[in-house]
Amino acid sequence: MITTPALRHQHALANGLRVVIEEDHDTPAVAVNLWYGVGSRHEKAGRTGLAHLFEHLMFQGSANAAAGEHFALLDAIGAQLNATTSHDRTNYFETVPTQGLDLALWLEADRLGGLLAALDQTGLDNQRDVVRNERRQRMDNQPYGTAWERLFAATFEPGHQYHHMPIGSMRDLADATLDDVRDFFREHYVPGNAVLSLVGDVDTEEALAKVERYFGGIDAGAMPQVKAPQPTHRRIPQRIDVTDEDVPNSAVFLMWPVPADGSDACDHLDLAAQILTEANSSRLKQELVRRERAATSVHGGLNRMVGGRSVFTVTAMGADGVEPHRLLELMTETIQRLGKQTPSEQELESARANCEAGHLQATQDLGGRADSLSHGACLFGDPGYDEATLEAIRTCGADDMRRTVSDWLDPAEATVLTYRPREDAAR
Amino acid sequence: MTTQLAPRPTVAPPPAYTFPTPRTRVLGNGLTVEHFPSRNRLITLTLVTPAGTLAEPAGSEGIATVAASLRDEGTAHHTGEQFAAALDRIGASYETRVTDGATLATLQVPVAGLAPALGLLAETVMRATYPEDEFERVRAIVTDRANSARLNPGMRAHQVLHAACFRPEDRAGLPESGTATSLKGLTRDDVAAFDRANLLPERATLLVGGDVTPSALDDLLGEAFADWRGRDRRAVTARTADPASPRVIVVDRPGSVQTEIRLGLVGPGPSDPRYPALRVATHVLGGSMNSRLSAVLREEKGYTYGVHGWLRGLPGRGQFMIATPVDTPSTGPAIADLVSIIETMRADGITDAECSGAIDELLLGAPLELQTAAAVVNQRATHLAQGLPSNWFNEHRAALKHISAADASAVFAELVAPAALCGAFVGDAEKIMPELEAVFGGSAITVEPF
Repeated sequence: MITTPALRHQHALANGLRVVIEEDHDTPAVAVNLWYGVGSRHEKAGRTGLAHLFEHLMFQGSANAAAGEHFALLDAIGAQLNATTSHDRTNYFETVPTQGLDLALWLEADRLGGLLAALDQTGLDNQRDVVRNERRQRMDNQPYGTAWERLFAATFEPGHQYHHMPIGSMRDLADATLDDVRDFFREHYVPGNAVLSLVGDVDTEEALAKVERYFGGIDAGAMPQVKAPQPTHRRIPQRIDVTDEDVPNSAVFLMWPVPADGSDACDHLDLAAQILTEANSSRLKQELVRRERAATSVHGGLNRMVGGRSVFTVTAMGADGVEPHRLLELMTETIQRLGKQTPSEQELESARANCEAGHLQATQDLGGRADSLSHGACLFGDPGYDEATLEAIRTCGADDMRRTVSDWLDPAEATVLTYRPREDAAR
Repeated sequence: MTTQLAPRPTVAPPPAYTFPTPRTRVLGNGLTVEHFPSRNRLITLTLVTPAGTLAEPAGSEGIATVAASLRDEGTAHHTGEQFAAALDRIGASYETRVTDGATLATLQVPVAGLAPALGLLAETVMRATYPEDEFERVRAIVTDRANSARLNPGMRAHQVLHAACFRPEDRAGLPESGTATSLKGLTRDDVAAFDRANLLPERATLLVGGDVTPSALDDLLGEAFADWRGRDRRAVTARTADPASPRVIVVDRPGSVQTEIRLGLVGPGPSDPRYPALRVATHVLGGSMNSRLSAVLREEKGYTYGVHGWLRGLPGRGQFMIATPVDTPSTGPAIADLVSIIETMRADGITDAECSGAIDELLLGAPLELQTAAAVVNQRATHLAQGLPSNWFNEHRAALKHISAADASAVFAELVAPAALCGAFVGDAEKIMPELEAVFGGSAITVEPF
């Protein structure tokens, strides 16, 4: 393992901000990573996309930083920075040269403590347009671009917190008002709803003193009401056949609602993802891509989520001329087989090795490690959560995994989304 | 909420950075090994061989991609399935990538699996058998992917820009993995011969990054690669030509909600003395969120989620590029802004503050981007693929420090005239043609179907 838990420390400021610090002096840099416990699942009806639109507004200036200055000041010292919004959380991060730690903390504190001072209609209107173009670029103008949106909408009923995607709908984005944005900030952006992780070339005591200096003066505010996970009942499996889009080939996407992150089942499903799609020799690659030559690639895996359910997906991109039903037939057979017959110890061992390599890959730089700490601390109160998960994966038995696949990945219960090229489509 | 905030801090200059010097060895068979030691527990191995797309014979475009993809799909010891399973046993990933100037094969593995990983990598270069049946399968997949890329608006725009910038006889004008027609014409024997001529130890470099001691690595390399001899020694030729005259191509994709815009021209390569100055100017134009292009097209007008300008390095030359997708109704205004921002920069140059800011951004970012063994190896591989000497990166960084605003402004004004730019637009022609014609003139524009 790269991580050295002996050099990892956890603290909480009086205003509730949780702080995780891990020293690593190999690179003269430090990763600053903030997770706020708010994502698209916390949005209200008619205001989908607000959490993500808000993430954009966090770069439009705050009490003491002008619009654009957040990027400008950090770019000027060579920092790597960005932010992302998912169903469950929003994160903001920058890796800076060690000398830039104070600046990064100051900027993050200024927008947590003073965003509303700078928020205005011009910034909202501009970033609304930017986000609408983000949606067009990622989804509406892309072949298969709305597949995930369709899958979530079909897997979770209207009104369910996971029914919609973080990008939101064009109509709701258009309707968002400055008051909506202000209310959203006041409700969710309080120190107690955040975790700040620092990984890199810092002295723990000094770093903590800096965090106190910049964040300690921010009022605690009121913690948002805890959003209870929604009922875990299943919808009647939905099937969507898309035949009117400009796609090059057939494709089949399957999605299942599965147990929430934090359950043993998720560890089993991480292993199942390796065996089904992710490993070099995964069963669906062997079956669909090599032997049957029906697909050009297969993808999938567990998307860990905390609001009562996670989702598991399996995707096959069809080879030229292959019909969706053929892909679906082969996928169904292969997935069912894994639920019925316990895999060999060798196959499971390879799956474990790939999970471990995946964790090494994700945490090989400072930013990846800070993100892992924030994830665990924000959603589970344990910065070592990802490492504990890996340990559980190491000891998971083959038959436990098979049983979870049998219980949760029944192809008859999946949301099925198929694409077939239009008859007159460009070739 | 009340807030007491500390005053804005200042930032002391970060320490200077030097790209690491690898420990370099040449094995008895001529294979050069560059080792970048680090504490990274994920080892990255990249084998760079000198034939990439530019070495492909005319009409055989895609042969390098198919050849590289076949190296692990059947060897003297493993079938493709068995090879994949052997990778999985050690948690390894393996992929090949073909660039203009090289083929790169990268294997990543947790350190415990290094010995078998080197054995597997050696097997791909020494014992690949290129089975006929696998050739047919891999070619079909490469063809499908080429087709998918053609039918992806962003990728198509890139392809069309290259077709506009480079002459038909220049390989750089065609898609990297070839076309359906060129791929169809390949034979298994041609592919095997192409790859064997590329796999010669004395022309290859193996890059190693990560937590392995020199002595342990040397022992393992001796075991794995000492017997590699190679066969079929042939010269690697590059199929290039002078740049094409500027032209504009529109790909009509009815119903597009965005227009994918690409502008570009062929210019100086990384070894050219004008390159550092052009890189600084290009960074000011489109290299960051606060670049001149982004400040207007994204942050002021909201036409796009992102606009970027950068220099693409090719062996011996470079390509100045601008890329942005904009919503269809904003196509005309966005192009007008692009042209006007370039014109203004040509006329007035960049400021001293912009110049030093761009240089800082370019220089200070390197140690952060190059934290991992994988990133260091990838950077070096990129240099090798462009035919650059081992000291190029540090010398380029030293040169950047001395670029003045006047230098950058002059080179930009000399090289980046709007009239010299090629353009590629993928979008709804019915809606965007009138605006394009107003900017470029109707007779200068070629329209092709999606």
